[in-house]
Amino acid sequence: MLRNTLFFIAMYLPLILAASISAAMLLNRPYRGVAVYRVLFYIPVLTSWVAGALIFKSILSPEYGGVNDILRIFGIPGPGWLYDAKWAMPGIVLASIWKDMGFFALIFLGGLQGIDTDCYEAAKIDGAGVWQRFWHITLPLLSPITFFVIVICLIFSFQLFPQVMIMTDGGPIGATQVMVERIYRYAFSYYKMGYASAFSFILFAIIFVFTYLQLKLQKKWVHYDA
Amino acid sequence: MLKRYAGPVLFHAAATVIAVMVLIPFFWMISTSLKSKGALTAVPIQWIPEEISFEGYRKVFEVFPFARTILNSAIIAVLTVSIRLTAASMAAYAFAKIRFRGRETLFALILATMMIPQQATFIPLFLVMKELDLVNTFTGVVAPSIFNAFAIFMLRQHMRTISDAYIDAAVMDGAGHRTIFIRLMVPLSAPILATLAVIAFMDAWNDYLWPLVMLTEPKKMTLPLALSKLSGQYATDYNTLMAGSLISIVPILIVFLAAQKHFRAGLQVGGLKG
Repeated sequence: MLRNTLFFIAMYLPLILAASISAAMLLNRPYRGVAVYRVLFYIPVLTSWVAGALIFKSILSPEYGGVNDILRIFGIPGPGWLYDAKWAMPGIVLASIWKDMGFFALIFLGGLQGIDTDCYEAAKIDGAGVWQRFWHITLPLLSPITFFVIVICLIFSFQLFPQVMIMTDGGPIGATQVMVERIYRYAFSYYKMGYASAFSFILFAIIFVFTYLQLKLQKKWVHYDA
Repeated sequence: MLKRYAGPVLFHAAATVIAVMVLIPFFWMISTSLKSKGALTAVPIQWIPEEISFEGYRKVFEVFPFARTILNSAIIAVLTVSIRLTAASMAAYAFAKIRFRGRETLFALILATMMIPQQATFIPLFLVMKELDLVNTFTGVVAPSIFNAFAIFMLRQHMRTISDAYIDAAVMDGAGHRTIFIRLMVPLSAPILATLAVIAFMDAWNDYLWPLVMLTEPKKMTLPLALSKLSGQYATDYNTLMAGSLISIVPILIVFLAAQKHFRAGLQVGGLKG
């Protein structure tokens, strides 16, 4: 069960960071129409998880779903997604990235807007290319925001619940059983309130320890001297 | 010439690719909701239904007290917004402008509760509600929103920036705490209150876990609950499920678009750049 959560984090965390930073960098461009994209990217955040999960359950259907239909165009045979123990969690990750990208992109956008444009001008004069500017200016100056986002993402990951309940109900063969889903099951399907309460406390302890460790580790990579 | 257009063209190309990936699931939802049951399993897949059918929309209101559900969601959302904002603004006023012993410690404690996720407290909270006989009541669903650390924090941060000169002037005119709060603090905090109202509305409208444990009678369920219940009973009737999902998304989109200007302004005033 904890392994399922870690499997989720291993896929979700790098993908959501890449997706939301890219989206934020686009939204930070001073072109016309940028406000429209900002609203479009944010619509999944406004959608309830139940509706979002139902949409993905439908679109990930192996035979009649849109995702495998698109893969077919490229000649890729799509997997069984939520019906396949190996692919169920990646399916949930896909839905979660779609749902959360707009939220984190907005947070990163706030960070990008705080970066002084003089830094970029100076680097340009020194002959730094686009990638060098990204790796050596944008990322370090954005690191306090990145740190905040990673903390929130990990907390989100341990709280994984509606998407699992609606999309897979913990299956197939327990491949997507996660903590909150177990807590709910023990309390309201098996009526073991004591067990569920103890479990809740463990969940809190895990989140607390993870957050504490990150606060300690941040000194190694977060730059606050912008 | 070419170089001048390269920037905008690249920008729109990249942004469109992301926008399309974000919007495909919504397009799929709308298209599926308009299919007849037979067209759901048609091969090749119909991205645009060959025949428009409102079967799903009809069914969603027939098999479940769905209209009642929409009303329930609206009632719970409005109650949550009013209770949360009233309680939080009064608490924020006390923490920002009234001196009393232990104020900072108490405030630090409130902030510390932000560390504890709902998922870790819903079992004990449910047991309390059960003892109070509040299971399956709206009171039980909205009661925990009386306390919201984030709202208290945002409002206190803002109220601290309101100059004491206003308050001193009001006190000279013989105003008490109630007058100062209602006539001065609340109007001056309007942008933050608007932002928090939108956040509270979205929270209540979309919440799943807490209503799931509190409301078990179909007549009392909220929209997300009704949808999950439907998906249990009609797992393959995606036209019905997608019609229900669409109905649940439209109100929140309207609220967000209407409030969007206030929303961004409020987040900036609160010192949290949006």
